[in-house]
Amino acid sequence: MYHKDPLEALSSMFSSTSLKEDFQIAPSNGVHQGVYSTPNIGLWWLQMQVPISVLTFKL
Amino acid sequence: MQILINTQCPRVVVAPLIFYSDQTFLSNDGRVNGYPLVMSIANIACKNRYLDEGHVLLAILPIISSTEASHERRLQIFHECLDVVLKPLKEASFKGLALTNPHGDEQWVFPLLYAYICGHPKGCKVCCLSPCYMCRYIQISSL
Repeated sequence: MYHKDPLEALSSMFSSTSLKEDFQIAPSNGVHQGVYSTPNIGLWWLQMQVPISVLTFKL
Repeated sequence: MQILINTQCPRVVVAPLIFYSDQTFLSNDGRVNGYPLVMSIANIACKNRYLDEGHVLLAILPIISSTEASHERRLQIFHECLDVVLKPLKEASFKGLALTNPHGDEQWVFPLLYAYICGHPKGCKVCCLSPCYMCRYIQISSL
C-alpha cells in the first residue's frame, strides 16, 4: 500500500498561493457532509429486473 | 459553524476534508488494480478543486479479491488501511495544527472529515453496510 503524509498534503493545499483568489475561510458552497455514491444504472436495472423475473416464474 | 468559532477564537479554522476514491488499473495488462484515495479540502472553491493544486493523491489502497478473504475480513482490512493513512489527520482533528493560509496569515487548523465520494458498492464498504443491490439480487435469486 502506497501512502504519503496527509499533514504535508494538507499543508501544501491549504497554503497554495495559486488558489489564493477563491480561498474560503468558511466554506459555504460545494458538497454537504456525508458519503456520496454515484448512481449505478446497471445495478438499478438488475434490481428492477429481479422482481419481474420472480413474478413471471411464480405465474 | 465557522462564524460561531470566529466570535470566540478568531485564528481557528476548520478544514473540511473531501475524499474521493474509485477502483482503477495500475498496470497496462489490467492485472494490478488499486483504489487511489484522493484528498481535497472544501476551503478551495469548486471550480479550482480539480486543478493540480486543488487535490492530492493520498494513498493507493489494496484490493483484495473475494477468493482471498471473506467479506468481513476485506471490510476490516480496508478500514485498517484507512486508519493507517488517516491517523495523523485524526490526531490533528483533536489537537489542531498551525498552517499558513494563501493570504499569509498563520491559523490554527482543525481538519474534519466532510465527504467521501465513491461508487455505490464502495459506499456500502465505507459505511460497513453489507446488503448492496448485488447481495439483494443473490438473496432473491436463491429463493
